[in-house]
Amino acid sequence: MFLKENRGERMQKNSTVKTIYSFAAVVLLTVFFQVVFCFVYNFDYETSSIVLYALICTGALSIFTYIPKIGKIFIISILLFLGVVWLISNDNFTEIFSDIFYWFIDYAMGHASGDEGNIEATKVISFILIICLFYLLQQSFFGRIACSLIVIAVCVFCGYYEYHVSRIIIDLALIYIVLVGIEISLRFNQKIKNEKKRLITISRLMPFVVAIVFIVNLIPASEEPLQWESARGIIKGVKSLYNDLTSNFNSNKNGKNGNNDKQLGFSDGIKLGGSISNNNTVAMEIKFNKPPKRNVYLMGAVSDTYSKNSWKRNNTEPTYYSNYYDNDEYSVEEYVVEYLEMYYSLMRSGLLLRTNEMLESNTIEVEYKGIDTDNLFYISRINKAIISVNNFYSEGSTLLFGNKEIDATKYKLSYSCLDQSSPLFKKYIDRNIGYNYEKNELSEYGTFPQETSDDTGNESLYYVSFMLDFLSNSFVNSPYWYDVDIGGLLQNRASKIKNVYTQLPNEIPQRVYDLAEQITAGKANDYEKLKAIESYLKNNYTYSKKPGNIPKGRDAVDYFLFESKKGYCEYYASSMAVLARCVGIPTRIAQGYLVEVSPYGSKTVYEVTESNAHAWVEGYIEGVGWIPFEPTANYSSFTDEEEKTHDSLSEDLSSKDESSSSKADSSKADDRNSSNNDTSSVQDDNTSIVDESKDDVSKSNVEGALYISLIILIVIIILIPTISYLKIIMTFKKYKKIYEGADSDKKVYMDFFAIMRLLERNKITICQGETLVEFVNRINDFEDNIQQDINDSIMIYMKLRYGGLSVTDDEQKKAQITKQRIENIMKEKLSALGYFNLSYKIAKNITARFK
Amino acid sequence: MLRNKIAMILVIVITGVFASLYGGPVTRGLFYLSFIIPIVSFLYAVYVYFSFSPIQQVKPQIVVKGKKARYSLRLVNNSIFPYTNVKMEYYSDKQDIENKKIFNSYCVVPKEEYLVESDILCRNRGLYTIGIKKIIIRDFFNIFKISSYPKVVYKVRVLPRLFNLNNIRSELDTEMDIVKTDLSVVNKQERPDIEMRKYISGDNKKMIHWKASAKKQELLSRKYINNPDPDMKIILDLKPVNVEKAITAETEDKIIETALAIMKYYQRCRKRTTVVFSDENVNQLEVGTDNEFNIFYNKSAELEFKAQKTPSDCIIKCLERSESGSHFVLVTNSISEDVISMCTRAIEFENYVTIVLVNSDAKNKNNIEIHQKISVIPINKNQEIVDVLERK
Repeated sequence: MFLKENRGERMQKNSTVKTIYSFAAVVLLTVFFQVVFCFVYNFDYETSSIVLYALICTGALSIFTYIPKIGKIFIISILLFLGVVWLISNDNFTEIFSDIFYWFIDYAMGHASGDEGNIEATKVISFILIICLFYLLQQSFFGRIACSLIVIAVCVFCGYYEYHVSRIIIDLALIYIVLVGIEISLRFNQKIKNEKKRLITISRLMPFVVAIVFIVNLIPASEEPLQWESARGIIKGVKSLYNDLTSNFNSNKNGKNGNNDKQLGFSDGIKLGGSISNNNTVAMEIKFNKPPKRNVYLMGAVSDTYSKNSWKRNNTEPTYYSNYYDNDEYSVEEYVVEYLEMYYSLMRSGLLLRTNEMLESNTIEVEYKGIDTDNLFYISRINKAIISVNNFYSEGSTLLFGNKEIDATKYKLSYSCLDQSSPLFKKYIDRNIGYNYEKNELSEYGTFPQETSDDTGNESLYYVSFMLDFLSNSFVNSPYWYDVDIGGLLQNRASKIKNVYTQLPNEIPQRVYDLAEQITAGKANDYEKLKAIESYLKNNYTYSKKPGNIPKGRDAVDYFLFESKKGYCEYYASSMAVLARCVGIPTRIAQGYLVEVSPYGSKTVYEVTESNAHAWVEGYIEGVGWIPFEPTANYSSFTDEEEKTHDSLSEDLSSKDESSSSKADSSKADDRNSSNNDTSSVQDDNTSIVDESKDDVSKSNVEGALYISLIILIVIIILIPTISYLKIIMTFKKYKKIYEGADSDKKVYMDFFAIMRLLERNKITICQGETLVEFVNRINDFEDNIQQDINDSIMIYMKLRYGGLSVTDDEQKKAQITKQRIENIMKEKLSALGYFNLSYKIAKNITARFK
Repeated sequence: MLRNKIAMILVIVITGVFASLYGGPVTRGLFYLSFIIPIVSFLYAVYVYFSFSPIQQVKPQIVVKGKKARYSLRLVNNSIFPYTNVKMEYYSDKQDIENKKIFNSYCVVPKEEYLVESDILCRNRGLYTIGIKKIIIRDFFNIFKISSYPKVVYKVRVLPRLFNLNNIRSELDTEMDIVKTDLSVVNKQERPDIEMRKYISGDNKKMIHWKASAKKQELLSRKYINNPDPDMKIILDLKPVNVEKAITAETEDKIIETALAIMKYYQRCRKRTTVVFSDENVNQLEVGTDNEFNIFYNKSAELEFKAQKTPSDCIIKCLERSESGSHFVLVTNSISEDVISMCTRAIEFENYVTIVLVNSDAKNKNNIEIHQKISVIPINKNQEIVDVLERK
């Protein structure tokens, strides 16, 4: 056999040096541009100086590592420089260092102030020391690994404490990590022991390393933790698919028993009964003009009539009014009157000029995604003035698209929402409660007020001006809007509301009336009564998406209040509406979506899923108007003083375990309470989800990340052993098949190979240049009783391999028995796992070689 | 490689969790780095896939079975990036590569060159590919593996071994003995017959039948008639052999080599033989001269045992040409009743039949009744052709 190799011999030294230089040039060029960028766009003394030192440090590091000669020149230059300084400064040279040193000690002890010159000098010295330390570490491969570990540790430290680190330092650190990673791979995977060769290879791979870091730089890196928006989108999609499948499965299954699960989602009208399941289809996307402070109730439909366990909308008429000018009758939409009533109630209570403390005004842009409905969603009180839908009409308080095809499904609207958590709200209610349009003089309203000037700069005046503007534009039907009989309008409407919105079917059992009386006993006014009912339902009933079916012939509200005592939002809302009507308070059911907003962050865009669909109650307080109430357990009340997290809501909506949600509730509520101490007057009491509150954002994101990590881990945990197991089984099977299918000669080859591997495990290996005969003679100290067998087996192999003769079956058997005997010895010597590992390796090698 | 993949996944997961917990460019940088690395690594592997091209050379490209061919592999990197991990897999079903270093994985930096040479032992006859079967390319982090195939493949023609027989056993030699007889004389002489004629002046003394002359009291010479030797027809059974898979190639080679040995013997004896073999049709090839022999010898390297015609068909074909006076030598791995009956028929037409059974199971012929005039010569697995075919 003739072998000729010239590995490494033909390496061209010139090109190698060129490579190293090009590498250095790439690094330095990158660094140079980074520094220029830093200086031009972000000139900051601290940053630039840090960058400069980092540049020196990392640049020198790279030079030392890959161009030792230049490294030496670098050190010599520093020494020469110091020498020159010493010569110039003469005797003061040592004093400079001693001054800096003592200053540093004093500074570290807190006795000295931060002198700029000393700080800079300390930095320079520190960096030089670091460079020297790194230089020493760079000398060996393991030193470089240690360095990379230090760099990683520093990165983790900086990441953990969220220190602002210059991009250039991160880039260089990443380059270094990748370089060492490649070197480790070359050393251990590729088994390149020649360090010079490794370094040359790495230097040639430098463009790839730079490309990696360059791409990393291209991806935007914000100061916020990863949001996992797309990942969560995928998870939501998967969840939704899963829910669809399970709900379909359940509905198919239950269909036989006459029970059907409903999917969560908006519907115009309510049909009580059955169970609901999650539906994570994205219904719409909402973009707020400015970040909202509290959860937002998007109203899509209003139901006023309760019968046969369902709620429907019967009152579709607009409000009619007369005009002093011509005494004719005109109509105006309900949402305008709601606004008007609010205006007058504010005016009457003397709070008109403090509306900015009570109203949250905002503009939203709604874009329909997965929802298909003619209903137009809005936030009460809507301001028509800037609603962007061209053609819509109202049926009572329900707004519907006039021509959805034309208006598409994207629109803007502005609203002024009453903030019930505001301290002023209570005063507002107190001042208006008990007001009766009939008892009070209509003349106090008169006609429409004139516009208020905004000269004072008061924000509330702006509101008033805005409101008046809206109202004046809304009464367009009347030829002279300022001649509208406001008092008559409001009085007629109030009496109509009292008539329509208190109706109840005869089937409502007496005990429901009795319960209503019992709950509201001792309450002074309608508002307190409504609050009492809200509180009663919230605290005494359990939220459940699977409350079971309503027995045939039973009233749903009665069954919920007295027997099942569990249900979802529609049950709660229906019960509150019915109970309030039982004591003569007008109520209605509002259906739509609850948008969970983050009160502290700057998030303005929200995705609303069908699982956010919700129903709540609005009670009518004469003189005030319709006020929303939230009777559903686990949902934050409109007026709760203590802020509750919305996690429980989310938990319920996403069908997570209730116990875990309550735990999350308590822990998060604690966190929130502590933060509320500082900002209690500003923060919203109703809202609960806090996507962009830093800690919770992290937790929320971590949830996504952990979810994915968990899935990946589970997949890995399942896959790795399964694949390994299958691989092992296949290897052994293959080995057996090859062995059994082999002729005697091949079997001897395989047995010999196995014997050699077994001996190798006993540290008995054939030396370089040693013949098999010499080897046989040498290994006579291995297990006396099978020594002869090994000798014979090797002789059989030699006869076959070199003699060109075939072996007999007996000879093959002998070799096989020898192998088995050594295997038995190894079985005793090694642990079960060790022996298994050895057997597997032998089987694998033999299979690969003799396949 | 699996270890590296797992490590990379773990790094992505860990940095992902880290980046989810803490914001800022450091955590993001680490996270992005962890998943950009595999992408760039893969792109690098793709680059190597397209740019790496090993150069192979085999000399000579025609070898005799059992002889070695010289194989050289040259790895040159003319690109600008190194090939960090390239490994070659070689064809090994019919060849043995002796220099195991050729199996190593190589890291070739730009302008670097490796030259690895090895002898390749060609174990079996045939025309087959030699050298690199597959190139396995790995990226610099050893995460991905891409397989490529050499653009140029090298085939060697491995000729069967050619045995020179000094003599031939009697079953195969109906006419002459190469050791005892001067072939040139034998070829020229006519066979003596019992018929005699009166002595004619000038007759060779050796031609005088002294005993008969004494009886008749007059000189009688032996009367020679021109009796040609029987035609030697070597029938190669190219039907798939019926042996263990491990010795299939060996058996096929042995059948060819047996036929060649007999043909060569007769060619040396300057006696023409006809080799009959079949693929889709029955082919007959007369071999007498060196050139004719070499043509068949070269062809024999590529003969495949996929014949659609049986040996019986070959015998029938031969009988169609000359009904009697031929010596059929059937070289086969197995005999069937059909073959035996056809051989018996040939004998009935005053032909000679010898069957050479190569690597055949003993039980193969146990149940078949063989005509007593049919000679069967078995060549077992461990027997050498020369040992069997030469006269003891």
